[in-house]
Amino acid sequence: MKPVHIVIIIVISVGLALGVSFYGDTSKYVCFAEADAIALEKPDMKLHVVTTLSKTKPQIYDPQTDPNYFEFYASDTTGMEKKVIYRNAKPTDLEKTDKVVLIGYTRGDHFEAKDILKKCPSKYEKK
Amino acid sequence: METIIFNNEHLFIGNLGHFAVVLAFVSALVSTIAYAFSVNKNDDALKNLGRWMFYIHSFAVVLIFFTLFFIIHQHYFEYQYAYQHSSTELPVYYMISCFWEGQEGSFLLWMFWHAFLGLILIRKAGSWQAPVLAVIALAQVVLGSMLLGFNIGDFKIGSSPFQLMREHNPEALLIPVLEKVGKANYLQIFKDGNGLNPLLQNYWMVIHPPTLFFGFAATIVPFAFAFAGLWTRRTKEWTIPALPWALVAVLVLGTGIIMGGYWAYESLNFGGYWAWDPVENASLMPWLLMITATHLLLINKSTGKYPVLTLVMTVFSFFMVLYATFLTRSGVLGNASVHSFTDLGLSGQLLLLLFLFIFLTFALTFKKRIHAWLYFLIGFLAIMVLALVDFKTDTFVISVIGTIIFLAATSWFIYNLFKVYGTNIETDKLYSREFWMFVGSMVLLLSGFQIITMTSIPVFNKLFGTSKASAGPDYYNAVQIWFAMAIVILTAIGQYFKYKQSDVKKVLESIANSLLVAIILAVGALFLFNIWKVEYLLFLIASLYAVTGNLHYLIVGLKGKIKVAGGSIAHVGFGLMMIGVLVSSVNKKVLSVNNSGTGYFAETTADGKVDQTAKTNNKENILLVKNKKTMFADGKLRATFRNVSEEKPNKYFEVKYDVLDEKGQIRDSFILKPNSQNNPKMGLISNPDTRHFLTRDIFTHITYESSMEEQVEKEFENFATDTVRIGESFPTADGNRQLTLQKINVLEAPGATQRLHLQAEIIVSNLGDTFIARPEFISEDQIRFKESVINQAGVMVLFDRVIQDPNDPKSMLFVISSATRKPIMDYIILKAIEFPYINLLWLGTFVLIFGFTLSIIQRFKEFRRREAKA
Repeated sequence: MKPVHIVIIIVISVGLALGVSFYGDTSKYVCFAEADAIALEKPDMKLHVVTTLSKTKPQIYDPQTDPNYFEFYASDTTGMEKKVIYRNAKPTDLEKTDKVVLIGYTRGDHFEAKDILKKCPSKYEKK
Repeated sequence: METIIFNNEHLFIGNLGHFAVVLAFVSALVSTIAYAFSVNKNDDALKNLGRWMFYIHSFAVVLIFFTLFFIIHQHYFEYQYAYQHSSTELPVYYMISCFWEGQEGSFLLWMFWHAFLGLILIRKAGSWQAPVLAVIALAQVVLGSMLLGFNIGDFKIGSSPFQLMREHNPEALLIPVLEKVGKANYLQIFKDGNGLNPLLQNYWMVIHPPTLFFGFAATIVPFAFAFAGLWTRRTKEWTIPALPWALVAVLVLGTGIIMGGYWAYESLNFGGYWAWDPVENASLMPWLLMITATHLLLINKSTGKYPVLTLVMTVFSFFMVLYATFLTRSGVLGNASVHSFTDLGLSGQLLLLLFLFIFLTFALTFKKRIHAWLYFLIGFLAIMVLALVDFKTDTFVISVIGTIIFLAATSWFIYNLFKVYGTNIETDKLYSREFWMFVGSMVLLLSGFQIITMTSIPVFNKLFGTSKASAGPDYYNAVQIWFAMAIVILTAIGQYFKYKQSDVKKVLESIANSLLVAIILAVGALFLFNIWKVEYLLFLIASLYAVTGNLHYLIVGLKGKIKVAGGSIAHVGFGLMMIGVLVSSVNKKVLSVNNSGTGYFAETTADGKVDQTAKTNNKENILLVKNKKTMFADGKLRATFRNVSEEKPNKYFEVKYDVLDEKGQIRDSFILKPNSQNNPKMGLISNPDTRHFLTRDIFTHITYESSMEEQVEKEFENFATDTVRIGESFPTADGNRQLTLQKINVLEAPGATQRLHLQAEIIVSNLGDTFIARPEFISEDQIRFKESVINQAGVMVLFDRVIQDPNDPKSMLFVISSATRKPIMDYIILKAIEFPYINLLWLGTFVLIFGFTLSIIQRFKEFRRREAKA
């Protein structure tokens, strides 16, 4: 066997390993109910939940007391509503967004969002 | 139907633009056909026709550009493009940025660069002109069709930048206000446009997109040479002219990507230069394939080896540009990216662009022309029909069939290529440069493969109905560090070997020597950079080795001949960049750690105490109350929020930083002015400000500020009355503030009148801040009080009366009432991050660019010598 063949075999196996591992490792899009179920087995697995902000429910952000605590309610695509805690400054343009992707996990009665992706349709589009 | 004559519209300029679009499309089409036939028939007259048509096409593209610019510049808001992307307030130098805010404009920019490259190639491509220009002209036909804006039934071909606003959005004419002025005068109402995205109103955003697009556009040139090589069966020679162009593409695209990173670092608030966002990845994917192709082209030029792989990588780099365009422009990324892109309904045309070039290239590998055409027609039509149906219906079976067809077509292509080139791979020797460069290319390919698969997750989701989410930065970093490590090591090792065969002993000796130097340096760097994790340490040694190894080779191997040292210099730059990336991200430190006032909402353990080990607690944002000095970063920094100034539309927050030494003495002071912009369309946009030092950057941005909170004056509560002596301290009823009666001032004593006027001086302390309240007590014919309210502390104090101490008749007691409410104050919430040694990254970038430039000059000279000989 020539060195080049060895390299090709290694490349293909690393490629396959990457392909397989990415399918196992990465996060999933779920709804709140699924996130609750997963949290029982893998409490630290970060999940993606596509939600809309519940604008009628109260939000708590009191920066003078704790600038790193923001609490709000959001409902997922199935309509289930849940309390969300985001331990960071309140995202500034949250009110303008209609869709919010939460990345995090269920903790007790609420969802701990480690990251929030906002979608602003207004960014490039009028209205 | 009644026809309305609309007033004040400037229709001529739009018609001119439309005409230019059609002219560009038709001339590109004729040029393609003429050039293509001239290749097959070897006809000079046809070639001339093709060339002239390309000149006309280039003129038309420039004309579109100027027409559109004129419309934006003159504020003709009857045109949708001007209305949507510009406004009367926009300065001229940002008007150019309107071109890349809209998709039509960015296709136009892409076409502009293609035309520019085509004009150069007409002069410089020599014997390759006809087939290469045919390829570029064909790309222009497809891109040009994106601007046509014709509707055939429900089917839309392209989206015209010259569409009128009232055509684009007929409801605009139905708004009630128009009844007053009449529909015909609708422009009296639509006087201003929507304006440009404020993020694009930045000097980096004027130069970053055109650079990036030039890089994307440049990938077509090496592709065109590969395509031409297959077409005219000059299967060995094509690499010579392709190489310098591949370098150009790598250099420009790389520069564009870095500019984007620098822009993100300087003006976005995510705190970094790279976030592995799909849109960033979309530009990195073709770059990684192109740099792989470039190294293979180098090997192939010198040794003739790996011809199939070289060709495959070259053409796939271009396909990757088309694929990346599809990813970012079709809306398929959906939730995966923080960038949003509107779908203009061009997905079908984008897929056509991608598959047209793929199947044309694949077809060229057939020997007989009839087979090639059959293969192309069947394959291309099949995949297009499947893709379009699938895109609309999301049918799993169709996805599977389509994927299988595509994979089969690709395999067939590679099989055919082996037939074209012959399968006998020469015995390659372990101690040859080409072998190690090949290994390096494979690592680059794997690195690219990982990024491509991860970024394509939304595409897989769409195809197969899965719901995988894209991975976060940590996942990329954890995998990519190992690829990067292998790459930096190989850049140094590869240089020492000679092509074909080298003196093993000498090579190993040089490798060992430079590695030793790298390790010694790494020991020093370890303490300087403070890096103690094994994989980071290994990466540090490897990157240092890339620097020492390549420098060593530059001095000893090349004897300092700079002209031919482009590769080595670029590798040194890459090594420096990697050190910069490593140190600035591993030791990136949040300075604004908030230790006061936390705990209210912290995660609690079972017994209700604050869980100090909780992973979810974040303390990265700190409260700065106006004019109050706040210490952070373990007492090494002190920040004071001093002032807000407004320069519309921005609000600047002046924050004074004091750098303190161990004794608390000020060593250095500076002022940063992060700003925020409250944009009616996008909400609040926060822009950072960064202080650059030689060895570190201090990065600051505002995450929240007091004017965003509705600070209403609430009713006072927690009333209490205390009887105290002078000097006595007592808490408010809620226990959060401390009051101290300091002294009593007698403003007016009874004498001529019966009036007694007393003032109490009460120190109010709240969260470490102290204020003085001065309530007054006035006794005349009746008793009056003047309360004192300290808004910043949320305290009201009343001076009720004076009584004699029952225990000690000589001294007096004072009755003070107090109440509290939520304080009202000016404050900002700030995040500060330290990036150590980030300058190494920028320095490395410059060295890399310099090295590439040298290589490009050298390779163009080589090509010219070859052509001169031939």
